[in-house]
Parts: sequence; C-alpha cells; structure tokens
Amino acid sequence: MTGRGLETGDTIAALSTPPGRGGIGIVRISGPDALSIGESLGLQLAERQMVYGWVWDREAREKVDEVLAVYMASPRTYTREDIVEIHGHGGPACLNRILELCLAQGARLAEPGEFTRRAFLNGRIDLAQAESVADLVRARTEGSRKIALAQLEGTLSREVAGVESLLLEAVAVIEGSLDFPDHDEVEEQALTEAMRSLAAARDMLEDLLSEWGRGRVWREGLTVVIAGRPNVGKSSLMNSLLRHQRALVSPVPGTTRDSIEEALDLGGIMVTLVDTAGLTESQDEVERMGVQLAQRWVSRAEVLMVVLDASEGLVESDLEILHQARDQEGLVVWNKMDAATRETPAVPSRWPVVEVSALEGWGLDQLRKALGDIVGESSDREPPVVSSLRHKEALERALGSVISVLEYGSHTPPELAAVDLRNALGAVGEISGISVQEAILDRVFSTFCVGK
Amino acid sequence: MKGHDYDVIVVGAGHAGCEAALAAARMGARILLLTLNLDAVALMPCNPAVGGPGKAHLVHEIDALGGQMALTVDRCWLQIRTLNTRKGPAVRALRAQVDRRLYQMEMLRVLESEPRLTLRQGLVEDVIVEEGRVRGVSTATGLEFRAPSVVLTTGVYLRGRVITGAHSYEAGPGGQVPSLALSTSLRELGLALGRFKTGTPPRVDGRTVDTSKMTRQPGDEEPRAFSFLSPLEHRPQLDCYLTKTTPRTHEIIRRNLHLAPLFDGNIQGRGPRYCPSIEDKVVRFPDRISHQIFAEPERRDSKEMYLLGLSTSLPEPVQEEVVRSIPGLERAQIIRPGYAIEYDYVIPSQLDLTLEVKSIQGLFTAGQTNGTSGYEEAAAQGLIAGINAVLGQRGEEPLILTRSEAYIGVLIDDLVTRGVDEPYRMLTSRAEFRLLLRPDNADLRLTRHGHRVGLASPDRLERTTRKERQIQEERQRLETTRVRPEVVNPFLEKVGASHITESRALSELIRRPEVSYDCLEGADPDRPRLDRDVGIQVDIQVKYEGYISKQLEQVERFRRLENKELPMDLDYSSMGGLSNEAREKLEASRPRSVGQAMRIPGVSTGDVSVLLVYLEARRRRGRGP
Repeated sequence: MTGRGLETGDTIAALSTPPGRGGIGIVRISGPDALSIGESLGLQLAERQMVYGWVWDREAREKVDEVLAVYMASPRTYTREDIVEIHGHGGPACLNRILELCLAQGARLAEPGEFTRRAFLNGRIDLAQAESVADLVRARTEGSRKIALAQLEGTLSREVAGVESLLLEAVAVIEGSLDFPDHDEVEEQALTEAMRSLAAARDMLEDLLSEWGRGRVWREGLTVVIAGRPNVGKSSLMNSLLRHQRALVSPVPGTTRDSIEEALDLGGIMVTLVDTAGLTESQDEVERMGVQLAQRWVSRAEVLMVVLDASEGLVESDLEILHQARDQEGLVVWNKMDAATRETPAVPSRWPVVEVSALEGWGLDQLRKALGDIVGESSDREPPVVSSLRHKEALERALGSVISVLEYGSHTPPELAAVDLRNALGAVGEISGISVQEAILDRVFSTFCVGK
Repeated sequence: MKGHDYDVIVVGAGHAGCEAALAAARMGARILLLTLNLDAVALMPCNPAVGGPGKAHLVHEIDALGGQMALTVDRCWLQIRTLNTRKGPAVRALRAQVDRRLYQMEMLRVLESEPRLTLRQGLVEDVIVEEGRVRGVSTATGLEFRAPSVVLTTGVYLRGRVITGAHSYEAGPGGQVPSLALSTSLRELGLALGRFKTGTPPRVDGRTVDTSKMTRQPGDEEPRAFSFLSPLEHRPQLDCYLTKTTPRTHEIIRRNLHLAPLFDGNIQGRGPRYCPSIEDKVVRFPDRISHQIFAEPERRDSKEMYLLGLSTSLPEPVQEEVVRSIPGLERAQIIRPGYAIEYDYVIPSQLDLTLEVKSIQGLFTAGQTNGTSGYEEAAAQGLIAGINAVLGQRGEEPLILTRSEAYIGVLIDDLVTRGVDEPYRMLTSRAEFRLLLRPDNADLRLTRHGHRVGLASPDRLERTTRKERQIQEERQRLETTRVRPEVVNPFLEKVGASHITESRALSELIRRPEVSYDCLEGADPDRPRLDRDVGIQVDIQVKYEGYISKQLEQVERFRRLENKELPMDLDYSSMGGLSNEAREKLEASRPRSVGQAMRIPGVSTGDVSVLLVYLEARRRRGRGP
C-alpha cells in the first residue's frame, strides 16, 4: 500500500460524472492549485461565475474542447478547498483529455470517494453524517478496486504481471548485491543483467501505454477496419454497410486518402467502421501519408475486413496484407462478384470468406451476419488495453522511473537505482496490488542462495 | 504489596540482555541481570562476527544512542573490513571478526563496572503478574525477585532443542541449559508463542586446515571503528579464507538426505531463508555446482575455526565426510559438530512499539525471544526495551524511533506491525529510506535521543550539534564559492574529470561522481579546517542531494500519516465501514498511528479512509487528539 490519496493538502482532480457517453461531463479540481491549473488550461476564471471558453492543450497548441467553467474559492465549497469545475461537451475522449491536462499541470488523480472524504475532514459535512460518509468512502474505494481488479482479468493483468516480474528480477539482483556483498553469485550477475531486464520492462511499458489510445476506442466500441489494396471497392462496401453515401467513391485508385470513421450498429453492438486508403506503394506524398495512416489502423483494428477484387483474383499484395494481419481477427470479403469471370480462388487465411457485390447490393446480409458473429465473439474478449486513466498514470510513473535508471545504465550507483526501481514497482503495484517489500525479498531469496 | 528489590529485572545476559541492563543501569535504575550461566554472558554461539549490511547500521545506531555493542566490538576485533566499498555510503558496511572469548570477558568487565547492576546466576521459571502488572520473577531454586519492570531476553533458550542427525536433546545453543518452564509460564500469562529453527556449522581445528588451497581474505589496511567514540586503532589482524563446496560435497549430501532431520520431519520449526543449511541449499538450488564457504578465526588464542556457509544438522559422521570434500579441508578435524536448534519465540505482534507486552504492564521482551536472528538485532531491541522500562517508570515519553529515522525503527515496526514468519534479519532493503539512514550519520540522527533519555552525555550532544552546524555552514559556502577554470582544472584532471570553461560553484563540481570534496582542497584556499567526519558528510550530502531531497519528501508524506495518532481506546468493533478482517486486526494490534495501521497486513486503503473519517469525527466531538 502506498498511501497516495490519504494525504490532504495537495490538489486532486477527477471526472465527477459517470463515465460513458453523456451530454456533458464535469472535471472537478480541488485543492490549493485548482485555480492556477484551471487558468493554465486557457480558461478566464472568475469566482462563482460560469464562464465560457476553450480548453487548450498548450503543448500540442490545439483546442481540446468548448467548455463552461466555474471557480469557487475556499472555504465556501463542497470540499472547503478551492474548486474549479469544467463542464465539457465533447464526450468521454475530450473529458479524459481535459483530466490528463490537469494531471500534467500537477494535480493528482483523486482516489474514489476522496472529494467526500475531504469535505468531511475539512468540516464541510455534518458530524451526524460521519457514519454514512465512512460507508460511502469505503464503498467507493472498494468498489473501484473491484472494478479495477475485474479490468485486470485477462491480457492486461498478464502484461502487468510481466512488467512486474522483470522489475523484480532487476531489483532482486541489485538488492542482492547490496545486502549480500560477499556472495560471488550475486556480484557476477550484477547490474548488466538488471539492465537487460529493465530494458525489456521499458519496452513492455511503452507497448502498454501505446495501447492507451486504443483503450479509448475500446471503451467507445470495437473498431472494424476495412483494408485492402487500392480500388477493390472498400469505400463502396462501407457505404453499402452504412446504407448511405459517406465515403467518396470513384474508379480512380487512391481516392480515399484520409481514413473515414463511422458508427455502425451490428445487431445491438456498436462498432466503429473505418474505411482506409488502399495499401500500396505510392509516389504521391498525400497518398503515402494516407497509406501510413491506414497501416496504423490495420495494426490496431479489433476486427479487420480485408477486401479482395473478384474480377482480378488473388494478387501478391493481397497475400501480403493477409499475412501481415494473420494474428488478428477478421474476415475476407470478395467484392465485385458481379464482375467475376470464374470461381474465386482459395484464400490462405483462417478467417471466414464472404462473397458480395457492393455495386449490385447482394451478399451484404451475409456480410453483416458474418461481421456480427466475429464482433460478438471479440467483444467478449478484452484486449490488452490500458483503459483506465488511473492505470495509465501509474504505468507512466513506472516508465519514468525505469527510464531514469536506464539513462545512466550500469554506471548508476546501485543504491540509487534501487530507489527508482522501488518507485516503479510501487506504481505497478498500485495496479496489481502486490506488496513491494515482501515481493522483493521473496525474489532475492528465491533467486540467490544467500546467507551463511 | 511487597517492596521492590530492584527497578528492572533483566532475564538473560546475551546481547539483548546486556544492552537492556546496561542502559537501564546507566539511566539510574537498580538492575538485576539474571543468567542461566555466568560463563556464557554475551556469548556468540554462531559466527563470531558483527556487522555487514543492515547489521552494521544497527550497531552504529546503538552506539549513537549510548549503547555498548560498538564499543566492545571495537576492543575485540580480530579483523575488520568495510563491505560494499564500491557502492554508495548508504550501503557501505563494517564487518568485524570478533574474538568471541575476549568479547565475553570485555562485556563482563563492563557489566561489573556498573555500580547499580547486579549480575547473578539463576534459572527463571515464572514471571509473576498481578492485576495485569508484572511484579517480578521466581527461579528454579526457589528465589523470588521483585521489580516493577521485567525485560525478557531469553534468546533461543525457550524450550530449546538441539538436533544433530538422529540425536537431539533439550538445550540452549552450544549445549547450554535450556529454559523449559518459562515457556509454560508465558503461555499461562496468555502470550502466544511460535517456534523457529536456526542452525550453525561445524567448527574445525585450524591446525588441520590447509589455507594454501583457499583464497585469503585479509582485513582492511585502514581499520575503521564501529563507535563514534572509539579512536582509530591499528592492531594485527587475522585472515579469513574462502573456499567452495565441490560436486562431491553435493553428492554426499544428496546421498544422506534421508538422515537429515530437516527433511525427515524431525525439525518442525521454520528456518530463515537467508541462512539456509547446506542441505537446504543443495536441495533448493540443484543447478548450483558449488557454494561459498568461509573459514573464519574464532579467537586469537585458539585454533578453532568457524565454517561460514556450512550450517548443517546432518549426523556428525556425514558432516565429517562433507567437510573433507571441500578444498583445503581434506584433513580437517571437526571439533564441534554443526547442529540445528528449535526454540519458542514470543509472537511479536503482541508488543507495543516500546517492546512492552501490550497485555501485561511492565513486561518487555527483546532479542531473539521476539523472533529475530543476529546479535545486532538482539542488542538493538535490548537497548530500546531497557530504555523504555526506565522511561515508563519515570512517567516519561517512551523512546519510539520511526522508520524514517533509524534502522532500529524499521526493525521494531516490522516486528510489531507486520509480524514475522521466519527469524527476522535486518537487511538494508528493508529500510524504505535507505539513503537517509546511513552508518555515517547515525550520530546526527540519534544522539539527541540518546541525550534525552540520559545515555549520551551533554558533551557528546554538544559535539554532534557542532558537527551539524559545521556541515551546514560548509555546504552553504560550497554553494556560494565559485572557482575559475585555471585554478580548478589541474585538480579535475588529476581525478580524470573533464575541464570546465567558466567559473563554477564548488558544490556543482562535487556533484560529479568522480570528484570528491577532498580532491578539490588545493583549489579551495578559503576552506576552513574541519574534522574529517565533517568533510565526509559534506561530500555525501552534496553528491546525493537530488536523491536525498526526494527521500526527504517521501519522509514528509510518511510522517503526516505517522503523526496521525490513533487513541488506544478507539472502539474498532463499532466502526461501520471497516472490513471484518481490518476490524479484527486493528482490535488486536491497536496501532499507535494511521501510518502504522496502514502497514498491518489485511488493512486496506479503504479501511484507512474510514479511520481518518472516524478520527475527525472524534476530534470534532472534542475527545480526540
């Protein structure tokens, strides 16, 4: 246990409306720095006035959301501390971004129930309510812990355990060398080995954090990405599925340069359908960027729809796309069946194959059903995503500590490296709930035959 | 009520008992120190060494508080060595080979020089408790001694059982008389006892050891002292020798595992992971082809050698075979066999942070009795128990060191708050504020506590305060004194550091790893004449400033929760919102602070939130802290 969140005196921030899609959401900041953090987002705050403005990400130099915001000065507030509330309109993604900006400005993510606890500790809530406050605080803390643990089922927990194990390996070597200096075994392995484990831990943490973007998509529905080489009719297919003209279609290969996203209801499951630029080696700068973007979409798609041209059969680049995506889930669509001159060849893929004609509109029901089946299956499985801001923040802290050790490499004085690594383990432990001290000693004693 | 014969009775004259008795006597109390055997005072029945990482830290702290161990070790060492010299100051650690007979004689001399201390042989069988208060002890020979405080430092003697192969007998270490009835007496008083196991290797006759086949391990050329008060002393040092077990050693052990009490069910107690027996090592690490063995001298006037790394309870004939399979020991003669020892310990979560038993006023337990291992761990607890026994009688604030100010604080908090599931040994990795709790600054951290309780003299406090001030002033000067490149570059070159091109503050240069405070002396004409110790502190503080200030921030956060006191009369059972497990644990252990409560296994962050709410409610009702 770390005790973060049991302190008062610092500034905390959190979403104070339930997560998910809603009309508006509120980010609440409480503590001595609330006002300066609010102002640093570009808001012209005035006491007890609802002001209109834009939240800015100064670093990225872009507007984040159009908001209403209010500043309430201590002590006449819910927590008796300075409070700033930002009412955003842009849905969960924008709200999370606003919250992240607050954290970047020095706020700490509030623990569940912390606003209420502060309200009570600062004398705002009546003494008679003490018991109910205690119950509430506990329910929130435990409830959120359970949710966090439930989120940890599956791949993410394995990934976090993997990071933890690598960190422990490194720490064990270092702590072993500090506490048992006479043991040749420990000395031999020393820091170089620890550094290898750490580099691996860094890579895993970076991978996990890169999933953060994908985690958002996850919360907002599964992503189905339409991919294939140029001019196989991906955009036509998208339009047919959406039953309206959303994407620009033309017989010219490379018409779609940007990627187009649309929401689609597949038998009750909301998915985001993404039409991408044709995967090809283009000379055109704009089209090349489109292709890069398409490739990124392909690599992070939960479900992939690879479109083939029945009038041309399988060509080399089709095989390449299929090979590239072989570990993902998806289906193969033969389009332009109206123009096919012979039977479609066998496709080297374990995915289901559907034959359609987007032009004439047949085969689309089978496609919808096949897609629905895959999506239904996939939505039962949780991908290894970091979907909670709390997790993300903890993993970022861990990564920061690991990087600061790696910067000095094996020249780091080991007792200093140990400080950073304990911080890293502590951060990861906030997700997994391990007790750092015991875990370290267990690892030291199981790794090394130390002692007299 | 009868009158008191003494102010404090200490039961057991091992390392914990000696410190407890000396501290209490020096604080002005009348002490009775009872021991099973007057010839076994301050015995080192396992390896004749003091110090090493974590343990040396404890010894320096004992010294800073006004304890005895460091001073006595400084007079009795056979060899002295600093470990971890290539690592930072926080983990550098002195380790001394000690003449174990001389150590006993020295400690006896010190005990006998205390006018208020009575040393007496006697086997304590009963602790006398009336109305929840300790009243004294009674002995097997029918004597009764009365005192308002009793400190139990009975070590591994409680229902001790020594095992070598199939042979076992009730005994303390080295065949001493065990204490059988006292265990029963403690149980009857309602104390829960656990059972641990530890062990020791065979000793051999040094004349039969061929050291030419081993690696010589000499002591340091510049010996350092454990005590801040001891002068640096050169004296002839004895060598230790390093050898290794062979594949044949392991084969002999495997072949005889069925005779090992550790594996045939004859030993039940839980042993320490950091001190496994050789048979345990061979079983648990089957891939290792050899294990290190150190041959260490035990006394200056005897040839007996200790074989560190070869702890075992195999039958003695097997031990003989094992020893002789090791290079340099082919003709070695065992003169004492290795053995395992099982013993009762008091489950330490029944204690307060003062080391007083929560349920019995005036009864303290310290040392191996509390489930620790090691002379240093024992001495540290003995010192604290002795001090608190006297402070309690005086009605003064007890001495409770926190995790952020001393290893002793870490030790006692770990024992009391987290409990033990193997004999507890101090390690530097147990201290979360390791960079702050260094051996070199134990005096700066603890002298004022030693002075407050009356163990460190005013003169000693004054010297420490002066040192503190000098460090402060010198650091200030280094921040503000700039040097020009042409002045300092030759000195930087000497230590292989890169040149500077414009004037820099001295402190900035010292922050470089290869540059030390000392090596810049020639470029720093205004440097005041300071003690070497002050220079060392300045160097460390400047160099590690970044990390030290990070740790200080953590300490600040830690303190906030540590300072939130939990009143002893809190009614946890009526607190809605606590989990059942937390309620039981809190009810049983009655932590002193929110910080301590957080460290109790089974108490979650949610539970702590609830505690904070109740504390506030109580405060507002005007009854709380």
